Amino acid sequence: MMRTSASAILLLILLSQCTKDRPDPGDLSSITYQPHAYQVTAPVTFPQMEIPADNPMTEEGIDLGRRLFFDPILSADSTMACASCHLPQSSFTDNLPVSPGIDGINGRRSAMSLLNVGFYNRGLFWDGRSASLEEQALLPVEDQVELHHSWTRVVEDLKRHPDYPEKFREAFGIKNTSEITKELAAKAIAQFERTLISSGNSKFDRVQRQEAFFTDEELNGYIMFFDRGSGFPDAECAHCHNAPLFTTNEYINNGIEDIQDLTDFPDMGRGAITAKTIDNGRFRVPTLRNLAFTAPYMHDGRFKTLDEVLDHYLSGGHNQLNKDALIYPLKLSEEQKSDLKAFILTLTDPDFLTNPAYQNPFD
Amino acid sequence: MKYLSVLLLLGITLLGCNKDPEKGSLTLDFTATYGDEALVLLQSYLTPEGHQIQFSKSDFYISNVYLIAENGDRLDLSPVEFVDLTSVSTSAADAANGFKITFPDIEAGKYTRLGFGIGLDPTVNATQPADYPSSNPLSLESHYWTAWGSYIFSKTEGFLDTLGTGNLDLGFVFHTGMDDLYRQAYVDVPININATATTSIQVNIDHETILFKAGNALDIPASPVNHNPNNLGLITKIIDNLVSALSVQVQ
Repeated sequence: MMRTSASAILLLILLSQCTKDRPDPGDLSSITYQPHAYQVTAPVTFPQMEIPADNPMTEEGIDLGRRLFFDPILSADSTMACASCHLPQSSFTDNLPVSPGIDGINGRRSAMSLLNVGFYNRGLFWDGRSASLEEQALLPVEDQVELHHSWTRVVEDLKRHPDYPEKFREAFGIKNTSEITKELAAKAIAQFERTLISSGNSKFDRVQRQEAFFTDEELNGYIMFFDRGSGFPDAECAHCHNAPLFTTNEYINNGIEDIQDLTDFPDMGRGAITAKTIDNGRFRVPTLRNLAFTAPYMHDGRFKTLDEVLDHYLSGGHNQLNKDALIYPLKLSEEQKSDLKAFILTLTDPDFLTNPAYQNPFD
Repeated sequence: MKYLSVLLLLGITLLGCNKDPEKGSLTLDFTATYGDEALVLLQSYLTPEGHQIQFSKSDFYISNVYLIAENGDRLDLSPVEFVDLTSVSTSAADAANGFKITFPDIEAGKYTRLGFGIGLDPTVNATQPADYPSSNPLSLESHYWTAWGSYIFSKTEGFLDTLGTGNLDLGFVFHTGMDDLYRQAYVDVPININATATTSIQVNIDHETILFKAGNALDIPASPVNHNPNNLGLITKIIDNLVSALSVQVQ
């Protein structure tokens, strides 16, 4: 009995020694954690971007977020990434009326441009269902018509990946791969998305800085867009598309649906989130910056061209009780419509599309 | 002797602690009505002519909110607040509940006046939304009008049946702004702030008065959309009516 006990104790001691000697494969503590703070730079006319206190931006966090954004590891069959519907060359949309997911099933709505998305603080998605980029980044992975995956499996894949554990360590200071979570992945993606800011080199921005001049047509359009008077009609644009972001981030019904009753909208939009009838058929106002690259337009991509969009607003759209009161038939001539379009195209910012910091890091 | 000094000092310190005034809080509860009825968006009301009218948006800035204490001292409560009646007027229940703004840490005591500005004073109005973080009410891009170089002080929007046929055939949009339209409003009422309960003051805004105040009514069909600084007469009428439309009840 005595001998048996002694053997057992010896075995335990030996096992304990073995455990102590064997390195923990998930241990990341030997990797340097020295994050470098990232300072957001934006055109001087832009508002201050608010960064969540629990997700300060770092170069390492942005680098990780950029990799995750472009990596199909987030989809169930490893064929699609965030960037599949938000392409840099299309101002981070995909030029489709609605976007298909990994199973080829079309979603309900058009992919929104991510240009300046870090400044949007009154809800994200067309219906505002996510309050922050961190919340938003979690949803497409498990959406059945988008990436159709599960975060549990994504996180397991990230833990086993040859590079990501080190990247998470560098970005967030985790000590072990076991600490990788979907929340950290979402934080990294949000950090990258907050860097997607206008270059400030659009013609409009250069005119604002007195580095360029509008043509006569652009100037006429500018006057109508902002209702600067001078004998031109008010095109009522700036109420919802005010400078500098050219969106007020409000939710409005712009009269595109030919229905009578507020419960008849084919897509309830904001109303499905707030459960208030008055919000039915309302959608978030998108930015007009880089409109030249983001066709087709509206939440369902129904308008293929900017001319179709302008024709809709000039017509005043269809009437419903909650249609925005500023959308009514406008008395603009064809020439004035052309001038308005010329001004809107001064918001084109090709430098944003080619910024090396926004491109696929795996190319 | 040394111990006595220490005890004296301790006593003075404790006395100092006891002198800290008690703090209470005040809630301004903004409610919207049309005449005597609670204002609910997209619900029909009757104009003085008997035509139907509905509202789709109502909001305004107040600024330089203050109380006057019994001894005449002024206590500043907040530089700017945004009163978003649209957000609380989607149902009768929400409308009755009102839009609440609470000011904490007010020295308990008796006050005799509540005052605030309607709109923004010229100093603040010289700034722009981009000057503020998004949590500040002055960051609202939707409430800045570049053509004026001014914040939009108030928005009142809706639809009107101009012909009396029951068809809401005309949208109206009245936005006010610019330095000249900044107005001061105050009410002299006894206000008791105490540490045990929040004091509430209901501030009601009668939208019938905003549009149809006797002797100062708007002719909506003649000018249904106004955000034009060249038509100051109309927007001056609206902002003056808005001041008249306020009524206060201490609860």
